[in-house]
Amino acid sequence: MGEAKLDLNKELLVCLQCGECSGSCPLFITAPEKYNPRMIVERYLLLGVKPYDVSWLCLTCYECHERCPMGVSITHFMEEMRNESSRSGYIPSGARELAANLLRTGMEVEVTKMMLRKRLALGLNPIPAGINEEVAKLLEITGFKDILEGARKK
Amino acid sequence: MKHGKSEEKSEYALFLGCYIPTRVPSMEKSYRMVLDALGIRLVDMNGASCCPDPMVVKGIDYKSWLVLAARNLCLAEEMGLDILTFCNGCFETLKSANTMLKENRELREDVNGVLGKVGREFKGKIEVRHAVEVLNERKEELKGLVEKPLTDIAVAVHYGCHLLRPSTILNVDNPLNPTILDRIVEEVVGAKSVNYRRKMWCCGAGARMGDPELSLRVLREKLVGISKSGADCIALVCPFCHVQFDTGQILIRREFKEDYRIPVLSLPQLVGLAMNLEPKQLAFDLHKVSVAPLLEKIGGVA
Repeated sequence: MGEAKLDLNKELLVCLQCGECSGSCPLFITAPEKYNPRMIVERYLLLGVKPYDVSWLCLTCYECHERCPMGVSITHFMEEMRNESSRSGYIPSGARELAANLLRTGMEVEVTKMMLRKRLALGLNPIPAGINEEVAKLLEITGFKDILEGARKK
Repeated sequence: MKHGKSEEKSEYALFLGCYIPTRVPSMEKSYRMVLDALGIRLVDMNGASCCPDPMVVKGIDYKSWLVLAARNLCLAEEMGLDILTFCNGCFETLKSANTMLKENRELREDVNGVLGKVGREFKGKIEVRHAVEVLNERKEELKGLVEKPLTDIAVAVHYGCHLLRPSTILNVDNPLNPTILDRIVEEVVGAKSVNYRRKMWCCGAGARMGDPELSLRVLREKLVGISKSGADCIALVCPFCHVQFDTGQILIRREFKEDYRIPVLSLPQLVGLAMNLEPKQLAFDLHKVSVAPLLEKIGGVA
């Protein structure tokens, strides 16, 4: 199974703190003061610090995931932290906006009138707009709607 | 590379996603033209939702991400067709979900429990493919369609993370040292694919929401490398990378006072030029960074 949910303690405890993750991370190389995956894991394991805010920075480029000699996936760790962050009430505003679009229309990004004109000029189909009731229903069942509303209130 | 039984099909369910049709229609137009020339029929998927994206929606709630992806897969199963996508994000989401749901019975039963409430069931009958894989397997035919090899052009290819990684699932090419795009550029288009510093880096788009300035700094690292390589243009296969490179150069000019002006093409646009398709049809006028210098160099009309 390549990508199921993590049992975090079991998966992360094998971390050797070798730093291969940070060494391969474009964010760390560009701005080590802002994002250091090795240190994030160290602080999580030793101090129990959950990196909710910083998890939303991860590029999800999977460079560290591919290279970790112990098979730890920091990409999946960050995804799990984003899930927890969302349930605790914090979703960055940009992400919240896309998620709200998804809930309303079934699509995260909407077409502008200008782009619609350009599509037609290129001979491309207009994009069907409107609501997708089936998607809205599924997102209600899974609890997505509640998570989003909880984050909006905070 | 392993492609399974789906190789060499000539009809697909087209999963268009949200970002290409609304932000990068030039990518859609050029892919449609190139695939049409190869005799590949694309059937639109009615009622499809967002894939949904593997950063925001998967970040908010993993199960919701998986359930909506499974629903999209069900639509294609009902059409009896494999899915073709032009977008790295859609590819990662749909291929990951498809693979996991096929392999993991417990997960499949859990997801089908939810889908059953809207009358659907994931059966695991189709495959998910990126259009690049199709161009790659049809390289010989594609070569036959090239009327104007772009022999004087140097191209900086950018793969985009979710075409390749996580490699255990996506299985398109070597995740850290791929050649699939370089080979299409060299063998089909006839141009030179250059090496450049940070070639395998992410474009930085993933950090746009959390820290726009940091996102641009990652992009800048790539642009410095591409600029030094002497490339005439960038060729890529993901709409998020496209916007990051194209609009990002305008933002970098404003924020960092650095002017790169490197034209950003989606791979099918570059292939289209080599096929001598009209530049106007390839929708270069929608680009933020002018493609005119490239078109002049290859002797087309800007």
